[in-house]
Amino acid sequence: MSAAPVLEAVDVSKSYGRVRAVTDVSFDVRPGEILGVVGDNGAGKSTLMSMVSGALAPDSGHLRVAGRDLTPHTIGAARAAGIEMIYQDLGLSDNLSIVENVFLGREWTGGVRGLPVLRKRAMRERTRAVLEELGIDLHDMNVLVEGLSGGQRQMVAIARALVTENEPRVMVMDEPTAALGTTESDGVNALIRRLRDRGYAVIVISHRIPEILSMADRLLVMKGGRNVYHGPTEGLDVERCVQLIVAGTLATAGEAVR
Amino acid sequence: MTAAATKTPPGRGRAVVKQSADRSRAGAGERAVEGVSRFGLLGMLVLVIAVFSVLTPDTYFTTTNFRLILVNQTVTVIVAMAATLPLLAHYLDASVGPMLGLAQGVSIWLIAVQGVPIWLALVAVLAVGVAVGLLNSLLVLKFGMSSIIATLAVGSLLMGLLYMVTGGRVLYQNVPPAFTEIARGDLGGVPLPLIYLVVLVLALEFIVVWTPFGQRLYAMDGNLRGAARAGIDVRSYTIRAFVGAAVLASLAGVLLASRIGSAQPTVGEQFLLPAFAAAFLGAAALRPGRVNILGTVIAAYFITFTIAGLQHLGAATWIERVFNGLAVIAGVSVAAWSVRRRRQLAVRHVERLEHDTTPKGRPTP
Repeated sequence: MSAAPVLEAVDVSKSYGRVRAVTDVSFDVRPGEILGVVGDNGAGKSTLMSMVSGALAPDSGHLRVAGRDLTPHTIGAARAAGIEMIYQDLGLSDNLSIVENVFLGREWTGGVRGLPVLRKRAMRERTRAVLEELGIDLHDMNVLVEGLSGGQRQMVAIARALVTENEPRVMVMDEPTAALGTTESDGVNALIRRLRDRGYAVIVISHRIPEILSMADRLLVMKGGRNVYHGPTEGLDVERCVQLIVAGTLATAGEAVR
Repeated sequence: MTAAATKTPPGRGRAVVKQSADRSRAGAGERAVEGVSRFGLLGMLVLVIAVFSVLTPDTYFTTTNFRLILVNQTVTVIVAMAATLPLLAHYLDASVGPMLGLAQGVSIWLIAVQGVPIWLALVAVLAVGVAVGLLNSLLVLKFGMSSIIATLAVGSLLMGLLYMVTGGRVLYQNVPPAFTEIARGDLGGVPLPLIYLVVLVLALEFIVVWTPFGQRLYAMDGNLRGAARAGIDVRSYTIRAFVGAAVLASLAGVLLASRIGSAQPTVGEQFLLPAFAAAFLGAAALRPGRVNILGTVIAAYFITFTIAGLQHLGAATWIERVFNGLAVIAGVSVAAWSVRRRRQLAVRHVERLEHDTTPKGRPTP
């Protein structure tokens, strides 16, 4: 827990025209921990995470991965630095198979006389291995994802983040259980814990306060584009958490509030 | 999933055995259906040739006739492959027909009227193809136009240009034999157009199936935003698809001009429906529900052999148009059916999986 942060944001800001979506937000996440990110709609969570994933460039401030500045602000650079973002809609293509989705955008090719020939068998085996490691048996890697259940699709999206050669260090998950039933949510949450236990830093955006409180090690609460709490989940209950989200402060005197 | 979880009884050993028996039985049935939908069109092509050969053995089943059909259709097949490329990403390029028309006009005009060397004229025509592909991409990407509207407009523009370049006349004088030899020559008895076609088909099939190119275009069809977030430069792939289509159409145009030995002022648009008929019908073959290169080629020849057969039986020439229309309708319907079918299979696959894995897949706190 006391390890050095793998990802650090320092005074990051972003405006859309005259709307300040994120204002001077600083936070960090360490290897082997789950950081929960909560806040009302429009609190700036998605904008903040889009900057972390490289989809948006901050107007000011710094993002550092393992002590190095994260530039340029592109999805490719963030991925190369080991940041993998899993969007709420998962971004899967229904008409592609599991293995095609998992390797989409970074297919393995073997140079047969300089031609980028897809290494289909190797990708299939790797996908199967990654899913097995996660404790998931999807049997046929060539089946199209359109038939998979919500939980299974989530697994495919997570596997997509794990097949890369540059080991992901930070995984950002936007509402991973929002569309799932209880049983499937439990499965995905168990998987998130397993990822943490393996040393990944996992950032989870969530609206389900009880769920995130029981799962996350630390919490980042945002309100109106600002960081109103960044600290351990211990000592927070649902009520106090909601108070932070709504009011931006803990009314109780003597509390360490940032 | 919850239902499966509650239904799984303690004596699950037997249940698992039963499940796997179900799986192999269902598997055989599914494989049979899949086999039929995969190779159905190829079978139909063989069947059509067989039936017409029996019905009119003297005229249809002759090497001359086969050779004629195979060679005559190379232009159509190449345009059909041109239409297929953007269609992989669900872009409809209606300018491939007119692009073919403009290419045949410009190539003859440059060579026969302007006296430009043949190689230079070919380079110029391909450059026009690249330019048209870029224009289509620009309209779709920058102006946000739907591909069919943008390419219909560009197509009309190209047909106008063709008429302007040819002056509305058929250009047939001073066409050098060296140019007509491109399509009329042969290599060891094999007509050159067939050789070009085989090379193009193999190259495109390789690019679409064995390099990331095809998968990425399919992915853009499935989820454009998701593909972009997966790090795919969707703009670049859109441009490559449109430019590839226009260049292929230009090649088809050159081939047509060389074969006929003249330039027609209004040829082009009539190639559009046969091209899309082949592409859509081809989606019902080999990789069901997915537009694909080999499927397009098989479908194009299926359509031609059928039309030729009907005409040998004495059908009127208008049968061609009717049949092309029917082929589009049939192709889209069958492709839609196989997508539905595929979805059912996938869902069934998942259900079986959940039955099989529910006991050990139970969440661990």
